[in-house]
Amino acid sequence: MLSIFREGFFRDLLIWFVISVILASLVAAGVGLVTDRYFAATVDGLIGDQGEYDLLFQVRTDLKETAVARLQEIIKERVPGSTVKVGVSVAGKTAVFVGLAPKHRKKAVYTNLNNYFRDIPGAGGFSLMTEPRLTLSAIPSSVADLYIREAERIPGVRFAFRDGSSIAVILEKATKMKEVKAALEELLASYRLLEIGFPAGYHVDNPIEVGRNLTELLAGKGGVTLIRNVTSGKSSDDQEALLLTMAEMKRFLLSYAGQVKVIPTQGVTLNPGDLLVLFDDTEHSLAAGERVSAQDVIVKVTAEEEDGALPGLIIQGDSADFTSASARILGDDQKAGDIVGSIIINSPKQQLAEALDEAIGFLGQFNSFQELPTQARQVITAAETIQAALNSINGLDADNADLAKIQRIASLLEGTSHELQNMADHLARLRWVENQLDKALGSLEGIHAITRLGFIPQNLGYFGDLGQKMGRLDRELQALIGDLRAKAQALDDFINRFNPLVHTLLDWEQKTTKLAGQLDQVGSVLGGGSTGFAALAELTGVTDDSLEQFAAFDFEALRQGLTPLELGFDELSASNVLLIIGELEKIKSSLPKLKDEEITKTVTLLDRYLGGETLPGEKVELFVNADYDQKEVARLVNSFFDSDEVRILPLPAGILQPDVRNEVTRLLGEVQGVIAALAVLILAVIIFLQDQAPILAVLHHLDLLFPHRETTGKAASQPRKVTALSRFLPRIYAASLGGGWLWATISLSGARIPYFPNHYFLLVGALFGLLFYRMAEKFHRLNLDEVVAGYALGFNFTTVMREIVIPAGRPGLMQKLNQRKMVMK
Amino acid sequence: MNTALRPPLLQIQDLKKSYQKRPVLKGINLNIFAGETIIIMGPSGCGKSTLVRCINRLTEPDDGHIIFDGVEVTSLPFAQLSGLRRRIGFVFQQFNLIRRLNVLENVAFALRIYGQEKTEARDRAMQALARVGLRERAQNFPAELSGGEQQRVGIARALALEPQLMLWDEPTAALDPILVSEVIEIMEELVRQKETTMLVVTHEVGFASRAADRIIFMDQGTIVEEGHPTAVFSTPQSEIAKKYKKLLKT
Repeated sequence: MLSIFREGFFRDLLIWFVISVILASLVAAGVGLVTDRYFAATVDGLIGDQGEYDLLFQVRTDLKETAVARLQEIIKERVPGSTVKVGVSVAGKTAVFVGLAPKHRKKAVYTNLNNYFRDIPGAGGFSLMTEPRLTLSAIPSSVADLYIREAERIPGVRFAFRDGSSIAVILEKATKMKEVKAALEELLASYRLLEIGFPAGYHVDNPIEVGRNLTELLAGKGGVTLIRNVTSGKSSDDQEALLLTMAEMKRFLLSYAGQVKVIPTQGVTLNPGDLLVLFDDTEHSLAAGERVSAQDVIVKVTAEEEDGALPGLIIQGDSADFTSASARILGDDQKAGDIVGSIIINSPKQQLAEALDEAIGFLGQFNSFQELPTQARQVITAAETIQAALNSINGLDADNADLAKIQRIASLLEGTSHELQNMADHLARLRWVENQLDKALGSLEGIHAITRLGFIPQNLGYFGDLGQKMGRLDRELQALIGDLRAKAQALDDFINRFNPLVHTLLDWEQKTTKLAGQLDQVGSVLGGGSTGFAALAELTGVTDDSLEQFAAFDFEALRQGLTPLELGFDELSASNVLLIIGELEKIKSSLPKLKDEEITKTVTLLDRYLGGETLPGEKVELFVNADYDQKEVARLVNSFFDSDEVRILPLPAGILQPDVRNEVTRLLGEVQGVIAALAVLILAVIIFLQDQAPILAVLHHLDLLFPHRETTGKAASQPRKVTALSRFLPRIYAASLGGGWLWATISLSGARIPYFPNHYFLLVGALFGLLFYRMAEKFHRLNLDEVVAGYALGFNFTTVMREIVIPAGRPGLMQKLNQRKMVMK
Repeated sequence: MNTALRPPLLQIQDLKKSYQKRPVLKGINLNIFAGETIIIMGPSGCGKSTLVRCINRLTEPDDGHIIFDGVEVTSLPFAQLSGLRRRIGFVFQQFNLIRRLNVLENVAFALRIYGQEKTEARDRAMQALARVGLRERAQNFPAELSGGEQQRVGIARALALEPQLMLWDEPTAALDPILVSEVIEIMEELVRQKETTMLVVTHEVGFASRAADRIIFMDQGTIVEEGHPTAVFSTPQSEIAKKYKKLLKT
């Protein structure tokens, strides 16, 4: 049976195998190459060709022209001869490349690039693209210069400089990449960053100072030949930033939540952990023995008694439900017990909301205050009129007080009663305004105080929108409060100086008008100059002092005193006020609408994570040589802190970032490999369907070629062998063909699947071949009659395959190759 | 004919064959002499076709001997079977023509494969087709022929090689009764011409009675009766022979 493998058909198969593998490899490699070219062209469009450009700006597409014009201006001024190219636009951003002229590819220029290109409209900065380049990142900033010096000593390096928080190492030639990379890796490996951290609860006042002390302690000991304190108090580590954020959130939430103080009743002892249910005499009544419901407010005592009160947290309900309350102890059976104390609730969130409402209300009336200066001036004008009128009366004094004078005063006052009334009205309004201003100032100062409690961070962008708003509001509030205070002062001054006079005038008016009328009737009786008349004049309150004061009143000074009011209101333009109103309303809507119980749950959750974790800002970082004695250094550090819980972590003092282009090229290479592999797999299916299905189908009927005997007779040995062979040979053929074909094609085509070595395809291909063998008769309907006819005519296996089986299959490579061997074409 | 002085062309000795432990041939002994026309008859499943297919080892016998023209067929290596099969023509029940080849190509197929020049092979094929009355259908493909025509092409294909022995495995079983006669005619003509030795498995009793030199009746894997048609049909000994005799009468 094995002799069939010496037949010509198997040579045909071998030729088919070689040709199909080569063709499939070429096709798959071609597909991969086309894909690679396409993506590479796209990438080049995004980041430019190798070494072509040095800087990449991502500018807003709508500001592209402006940005490019500005770039060209800067280039002309700073780095003449450099080029600008506009790349592709993606998602509203356009890539703009700048290629520095060769003469400007110097360290001095690169070090100043941030200064040169700082005001590009629509751009947030630039990325360095100069090639060939390697980047060292995660370098402590205080040792960056050391790394730069060391890097510049490496052969093949042109220069190195700081690029943001990294160090860019520019090479002389791309061919030096490998050596320089190895040297930089060795450089990084020669140092370590020792992170000395403390568990939560272990507080260090000044980590930087501690770092300094540790540096002095460790210098020269435990194999430490180089040490620098690089403690910054800041953390660039993502996890530590997360911890910081969570700690801040916890602090904010605790400040924002309703603060409860429990004042225990005489003789009652409360402990941390006790649960109390609140009640009052109005809506939230609760009797002893009553079962607590989900609507009741429950407080948990959180600390020991201090100054007669215990702090608590609301774990169910909200502080807004109460202003003051009493507390009953809550039993395990969820029933209210005896009264154990009274509760004081301070709710910053309530206060903030109310203060915001008042401020918004006040600022809403702002427009009406614009008339204040005008009204005040009208008062002055009216008073000046009166003054002028009074001055026309000569020698007003008691001695010369006579009927004529009084009558003239009365007449004058009557004539100016309208102005007097106006003055009084204006003053009343001013007084009201003054009251409003006082209230507003009180509210705004209240808001300011609350926001400055610090529970809402002032850091811009710290909490995103809310933090930014609060920072901005704080500045505006401060300005507004200052201005309003000045105005209120000016107004108060005005009113206080003017008010007595106006009241006096009003009083005069009333009394003199009445008296004048009466004097008309009695004038002839009394006559002027009599003592009785003087007494009468006194009674009316017309005194020389008052008249003199009035005459001497400095209206000019008063007018000048109004200047702060006028100027201030002009400066506080409507847009500022509207801005502030808008910000206050946004802040009010942004405030977390959290109930106290929700706050408590969140805080508990944060504690679960924060508990035991080291918080950033509570660690020391030291830069040391890598070959220090770990045990000795650990011993020294532990003894310094007198604690065994100090955590010492040696970390790499920087990492070598692969070049972006190389990384992209590598990734594209992987993509190319994967695409080629997929192409190979598809081609395998097609080729096996076209070419191998008929052959594998025939192999299912090897008994036609080698019919076997069932009984074991004299010539049993050969039949038994034949039986075994005819059963296993087809499978062996299918598995080896599949495995060999796939592996060879994958290898030749350059196909690669990440994490899947090529030799695994031997197994995959074998399984593929076996599967194909199993399904062969479904893929190819073999006409057994023709095959039997061929055998009956005395044809051998090769002839049957070449003349009958292959020609009856699908058109493919096998048929094509077979045609030249056929007799009956 | 006088067979006493000649060695048999085909000797079958104690031939046995089983399928999945079920015996189909239980020790067949048979001698066929050159020029004879032997008809094998019997009920379905009696082993007739198996016997015929064992002769050229299309079916492998389990035991026994087959000696064809002095060559021990049963122990012949596979590689040498081809040569044997060229000398033994085979006509199949289902015709077994090659569909991609036309009639002429089907008949010339083996001739071409065995090295004859195209023209010579064509001529011989045409002669074979003439013998079966299908010259004018030389360019047609099997799908364009009737069953009887296809079978005649099959006969021509087998004859083209001028075999020493022709094996016929129920050549008319797949044909409509109307078409059977055209094939029987060809077969009877071949018998008359005495060009080849024929071993025919058939149910055609009339043909058997007219054409056979011997009729062999088989039943359940054994030969139950054999003899000249006149003898077996006049005085059948076996039940099978008696049944076939009744068919003859009808």
